[in-house]
Amino acid sequence: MNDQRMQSFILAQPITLLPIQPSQRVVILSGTAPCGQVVVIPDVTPIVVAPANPYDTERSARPALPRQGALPLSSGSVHHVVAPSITRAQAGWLLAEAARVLAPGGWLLVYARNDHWMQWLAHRSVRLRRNRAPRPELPLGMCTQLLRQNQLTVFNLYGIDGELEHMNHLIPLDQPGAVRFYFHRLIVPNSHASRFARRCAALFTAIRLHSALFRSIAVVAQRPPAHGGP
Amino acid sequence: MFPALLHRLRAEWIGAINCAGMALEPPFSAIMVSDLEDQGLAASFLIFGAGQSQPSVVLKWAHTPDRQTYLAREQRTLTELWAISALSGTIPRPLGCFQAEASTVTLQTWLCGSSLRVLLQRQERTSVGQIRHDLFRAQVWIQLLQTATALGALQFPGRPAIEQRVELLHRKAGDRVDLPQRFVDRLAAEAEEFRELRLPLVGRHGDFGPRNFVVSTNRVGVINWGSFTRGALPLDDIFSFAVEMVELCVWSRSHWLEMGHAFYEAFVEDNWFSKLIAECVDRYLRAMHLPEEIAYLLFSLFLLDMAALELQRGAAWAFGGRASWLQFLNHYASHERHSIFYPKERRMIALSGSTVVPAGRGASSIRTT
Repeated sequence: MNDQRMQSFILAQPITLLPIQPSQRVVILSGTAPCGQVVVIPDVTPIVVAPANPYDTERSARPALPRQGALPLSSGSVHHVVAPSITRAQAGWLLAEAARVLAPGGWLLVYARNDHWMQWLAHRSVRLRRNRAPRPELPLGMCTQLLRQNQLTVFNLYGIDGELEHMNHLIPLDQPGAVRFYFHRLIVPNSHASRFARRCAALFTAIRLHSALFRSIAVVAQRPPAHGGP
Repeated sequence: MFPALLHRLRAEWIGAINCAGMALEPPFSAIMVSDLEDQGLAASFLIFGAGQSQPSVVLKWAHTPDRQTYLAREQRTLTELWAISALSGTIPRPLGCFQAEASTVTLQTWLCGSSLRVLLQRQERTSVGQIRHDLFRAQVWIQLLQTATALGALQFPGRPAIEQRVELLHRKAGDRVDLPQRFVDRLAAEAEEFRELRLPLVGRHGDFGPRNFVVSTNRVGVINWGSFTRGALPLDDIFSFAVEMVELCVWSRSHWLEMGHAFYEAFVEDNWFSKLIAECVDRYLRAMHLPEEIAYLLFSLFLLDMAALELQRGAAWAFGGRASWLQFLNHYASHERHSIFYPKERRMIALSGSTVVPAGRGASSIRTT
């Protein structure tokens, strides 16, 4: 994601998906911005952009060792954490750190690649046969598992239309009717995969497999509030 | 914001929906539709009630002052227009306007159907018959709007209307405007021909194009009313509709034409799409009791106005920076004699190499040398 795209992403998406209020602190885990850079969102306090290096050369599937205190923030000090692009190698320690810095009742927005996306499922056997390394992006299954491990509650899942940087639609996956409507009325297929997804959307929603129609998923999770209420 | 908005909808704003006689049962869910190009911190949410297969309500949310003004203006316009019975089934019904912290939220009904732009991009509208049908439906609808919002008439001022616009453009754009003197003289002469012609002043949608034109089998609708103005010249909406269709290259089956080239093919070259546009404009002018020859003058005025507006608002305003009205105007001015709106008899003569000397309205105005 280049700087301009990142700016527009930072400005538009988290503030829409998360209940961000004026004077709250939001941390964006981004590898594209230099360490300590401050991005200002109108009416919201400055955002600290922490270094995460999501697209570095580290493509190994082995989980990296947890690095306690890697984020230069004190525990429970921020209201929202946004992780637009983290790799599976970093996910373990980064999500643990995110859970640490979040205040009780704070929100986390993570973008994951859908490991049950129908096209990847179709190609999985080919990939295994060729003994390729798995893709570096954080898969959804691993993401939800790590969130559970860190006592974060998954609040909502949204399918993303197209690439993360060109997101035009967010579709709630808990509502099969909305998914069917999206494929019937809104989508403009721009690839063979999306054309195929459009054709079989009715079938996939009928058998409750509609999450397989999206390649990217936005996960909204929450750290449980201290006193039971958000 | 997304969950917070749904929470406010369920807790506070649901009353406005119930007052309109609509039933929306919780739990709600929503598809978010956003446009990142303008980074406007604004989004629309299509709200689904429990178990619904299509949305009932559209919730629009804006965070920046510009977008908030747009939403407020849209709400006012819809409230006014909804009272006009002829339009009421074809525009969204306004349900309410609210403040949520530093943001503005409006609610309106969802119009059943698909955006024509989506259908065109999916290539579900490819035949001449389908395009003609959609184009003429848009033309008939715009006549309906204009009849319902007419505000009297304007006596066309003639030459000064051209001179003022050209001068303004030169002052703002300098060397970037490349209008041949022949084009300016021709326009001035045309304007003189139609001096004191009574042009109806009508309501203008302001963003009328396939994107905002919702079609279903037996009905049409128009959305996004924040740019509506009253007292505009006729034909502007028809022209903007045609230009947006140009962007989609509906006649060439290619979606990758450079925009300047696409504009040339649609308004200057002779193909089925340009003929359809000309036919549609002719039908409209006949219905409005205006002379057909005035299309050339009004299209040129439309291009001059859009180029001036683009200079005022910045290059990214038009077509997301992919094309420019100034480029279209320069292109059109240098090929104006081949334009589909160039009066037919003159066009025939021009193409056969003769020149045309304008001299008053009527058949005797054409002389060849």
